[in-house]
Amino acid sequence: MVFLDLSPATSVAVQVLRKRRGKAWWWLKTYVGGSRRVACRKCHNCTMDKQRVAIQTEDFNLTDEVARLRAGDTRVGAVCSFIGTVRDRNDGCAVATLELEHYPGMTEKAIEAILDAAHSRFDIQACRVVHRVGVLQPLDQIVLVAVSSSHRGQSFQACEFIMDYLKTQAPFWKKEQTPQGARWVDARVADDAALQRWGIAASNG
Amino acid sequence: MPTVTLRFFASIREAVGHGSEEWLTAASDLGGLRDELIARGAPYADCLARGRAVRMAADQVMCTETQALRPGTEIAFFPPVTGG
Repeated sequence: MVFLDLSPATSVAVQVLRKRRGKAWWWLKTYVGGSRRVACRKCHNCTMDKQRVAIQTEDFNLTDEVARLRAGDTRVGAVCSFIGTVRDRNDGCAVATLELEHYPGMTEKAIEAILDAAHSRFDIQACRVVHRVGVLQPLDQIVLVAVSSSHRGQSFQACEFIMDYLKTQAPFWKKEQTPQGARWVDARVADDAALQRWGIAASNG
Repeated sequence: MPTVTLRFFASIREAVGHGSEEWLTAASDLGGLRDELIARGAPYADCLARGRAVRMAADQVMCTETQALRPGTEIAFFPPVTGG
């Protein structure tokens, strides 16, 4: 990790570059850090290419993900994580497998926007979402949300906020294989209600 | 009349039979586009029917039926999401 001591004005300029992800940003990253990750010592977020979101078929390892999330950040005093897993029953039926479909391109954008909202709303240092797609079995891990902060209250809240938001706004769809055949999982009214608790009116249909 | 790219996902994709197509539209917004597709008859008329819960995105951002259409826009139709 390469830490830069940037003035507030420079931090803002670099954030703009990072958001645009144009040539100027890649030059800065490579010139300063080479292959190492680069972060602003003050805010830690503005220059770091955090790989905050991963959509993948492979399983993930919680210990490794948390270690990467908080690596080198001595301000972190708390890490909160959530893992969603596949159950073998849903809505009265046995579930043999669960297949997850998503909208490549939009999925990443939607979750990045959710994480930006979490950063705006809560005093957190970093966050990470890993969401699996493809065919999964009961007991398999589906999704990880991990958040770091200086104190525990903010990461507890941010973790729940991110999950509630993802449940109604991230473009994934689940299809179950049951003894009666394949069926698409219906969205739950309770998930809309969960998002509304945070003062967000956006609904899921 | 602009050409837009239509994308379909999940149960709507299964009903339509494919995930993507180009469509020449006379509609000015997403609501008009949905009505055009319904007017094509089956299978669009059923899976996109008024009264069914259908969500939409324009250029990979969630939107409502008032979203204006531009040439080359990618419009996606899908059921309420169930991730997480």
